[in-house]
Amino acid sequence: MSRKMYAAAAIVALLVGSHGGWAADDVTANQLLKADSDPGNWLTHHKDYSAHRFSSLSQITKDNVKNLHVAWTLQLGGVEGGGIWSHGGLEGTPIVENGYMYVTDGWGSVYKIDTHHGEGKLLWKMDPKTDHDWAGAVACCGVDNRGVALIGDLVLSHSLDGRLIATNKDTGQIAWQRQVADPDKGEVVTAAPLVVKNMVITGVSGAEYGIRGWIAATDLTTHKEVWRTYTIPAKGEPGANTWKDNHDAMANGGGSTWVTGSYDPSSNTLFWGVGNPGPDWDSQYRPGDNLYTDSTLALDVDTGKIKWHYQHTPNDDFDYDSVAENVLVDAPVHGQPMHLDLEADRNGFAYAVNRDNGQFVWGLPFVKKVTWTKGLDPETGRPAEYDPKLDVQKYNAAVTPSREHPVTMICPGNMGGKNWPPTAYNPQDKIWYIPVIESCNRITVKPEDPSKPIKKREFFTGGGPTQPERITGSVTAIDVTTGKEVGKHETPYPMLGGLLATPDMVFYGQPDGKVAALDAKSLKELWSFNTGAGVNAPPMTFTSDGKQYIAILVGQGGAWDKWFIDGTPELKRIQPGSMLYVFSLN
Amino acid sequence: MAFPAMMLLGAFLLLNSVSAWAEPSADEGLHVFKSANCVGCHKWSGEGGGGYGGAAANLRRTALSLDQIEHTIRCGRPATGMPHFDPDAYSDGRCYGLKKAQMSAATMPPEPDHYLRPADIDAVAKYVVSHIKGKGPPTFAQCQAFFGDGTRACDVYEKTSDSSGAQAGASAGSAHQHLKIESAPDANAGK
Repeated sequence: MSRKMYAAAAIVALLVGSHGGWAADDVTANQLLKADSDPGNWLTHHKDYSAHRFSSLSQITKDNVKNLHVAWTLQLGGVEGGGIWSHGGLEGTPIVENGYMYVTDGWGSVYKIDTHHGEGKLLWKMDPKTDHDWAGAVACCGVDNRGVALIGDLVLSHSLDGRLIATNKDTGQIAWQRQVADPDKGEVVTAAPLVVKNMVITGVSGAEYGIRGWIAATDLTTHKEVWRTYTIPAKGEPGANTWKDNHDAMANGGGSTWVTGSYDPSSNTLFWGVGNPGPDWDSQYRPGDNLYTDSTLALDVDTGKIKWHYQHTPNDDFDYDSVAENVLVDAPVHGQPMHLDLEADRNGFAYAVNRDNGQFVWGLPFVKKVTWTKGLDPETGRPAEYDPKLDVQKYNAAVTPSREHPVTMICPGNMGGKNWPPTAYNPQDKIWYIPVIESCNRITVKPEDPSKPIKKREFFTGGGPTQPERITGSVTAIDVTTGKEVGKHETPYPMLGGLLATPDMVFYGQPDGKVAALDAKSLKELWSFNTGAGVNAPPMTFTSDGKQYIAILVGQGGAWDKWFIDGTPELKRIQPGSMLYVFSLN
Repeated sequence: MAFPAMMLLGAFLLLNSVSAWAEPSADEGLHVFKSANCVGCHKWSGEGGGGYGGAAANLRRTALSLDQIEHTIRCGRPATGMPHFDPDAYSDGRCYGLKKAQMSAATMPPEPDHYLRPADIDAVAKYVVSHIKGKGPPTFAQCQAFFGDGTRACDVYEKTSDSSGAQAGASAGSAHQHLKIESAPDANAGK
């Protein structure tokens, strides 16, 4: 670098703000630690590090919510297609700091919106120029991006084509970026980043394309990768003996990590869910329990070392991944104080484990119909039919897809259960709300051939689902202190957007456009509004100029309208869209 | 029964006369292949293959004639995910002698996002025959002809294609930004 260039670089560094000298309105690591007690802001993806998605704001209550109406809307972009997708959609959670909102569209453009004075004004849009065809051809399940993270004067975001991008909060200019994932290998990124200490954590998508999954941490000062934890062990690593084939299935074992995790500062532990093994439906290709697929991982956040794991569906035959967010709750269970990690799994069961050691505490089905197993072992939480002596698990053999039994109906269907849309936890009532897909679907196994090399950037699924039956949904409430279901509000469509809890309500959206509020205790509907387009994203709440608002992104995206629409035929009429809705009282 | 048969003949003549009126260019066919989202299932190369929601036919290995391909695009394929791009495909028996009332939800081909004009169907069918059918494994040059050089979608073919394609890739590769991944070592390797 010449002296002149060096001087220029130094000036640029000063302009964009160095890590050591943040301004007064910069977000600090300490603020993120206390995000749960900062009700007017929504500073991190799941509201707080514990992933509660609970706001204590109480201007909008069950008594006045009937007066909730549209305060303002803002049209966004990113509906164009690319790769195998005909359009993009919205799955993000808006982030709000001091009345300034940051949202993303499916192709990863970031929008900064000034919400002051009762209106929404777009201040800037950062378009990362995502390589649509490179990324869109290997995105299994839609053109999706779930939002940003804030730290210092930076807005951190991912692009589908595998980049981590830091944008200056004030100017909207890219400060730095790095390639984290490789679409040449079938890797893309849809998850929102998570900032912990001086790092930003990235999860990857691609278990349908034969990736070997990972979680990676990037240093915010050096912009270099600090650690990378593979979710599928390499030969010789712990867990490698759970891949018992002789054709190196581990190399393409899947285990993606496409939902943002949670963090417990008291134990310095990062909690992250791991996706399905690949190939999804040909379990005989990969005999063994296939660690760490379908597991919750607890990691040392400084090193990425695995502290413990808890696997939900060993040798998965169903695509029942465990990418769901881990909800960290301190509550008594049957009178005994516990540090819990809650997870609502694709396999239809909700789990509480002791987050200090990964020991099973309680589990229960949260869907109306489960057929793949008769239930969980009360001691271990393993599926009742799990046999450690078997290399290929059969569970309820009458419905489990296999090479000998290649066409079967499974309940829940392979989308779950519960998919990525986040749960919400009310810490005052100790009630956990799950956005449920009440479903069965048909799996057809098409065995993969171990003697043939895997084709890069091609599906590696060992079969696929079809939807011969109607699929509906529910909001299901669980009392965390007992592990019992205490309510179910059924919905005509599956829950594809996720939940927000307030002191006395639960908010949700439906793929037919409805946004609604339920009474937190009775789960009776108190208010609804139809946005006229598909809701595929979670609601959130914030204050601006001291007034409470509810915000939600609206625009059908994701996997549903390509792969699952036959289960909800009325939704075929829903058109692509891209709109931010913001609601308030009066 | 003569009347529907005459209508079918009429429709056939109409379609034929449209296609005979002006020969579509390969560019027109390529445009339709993209805009009608044939890529969504058959991929850019036409290889289709095993998919999350079922397998699409491999058009590179198809044995269908031009007429049969055109017929499949107009009518879709019953009991599969192949849509019918003629909006009236099942109105009068022109497709497989079937009408909508005779079809169940399971056998009725899906509606496409956008129906196609007869000239578009003609163009895309000819594109499949001239650029995809019988072409063997996809090459870097074919991929770049499809996408242009503003994307890295073809990079995966650079090393596996013939030498001329690889050379083209080396020069085209510099046209767009290649950020390298510098990943940390495996956090759980060793003790």
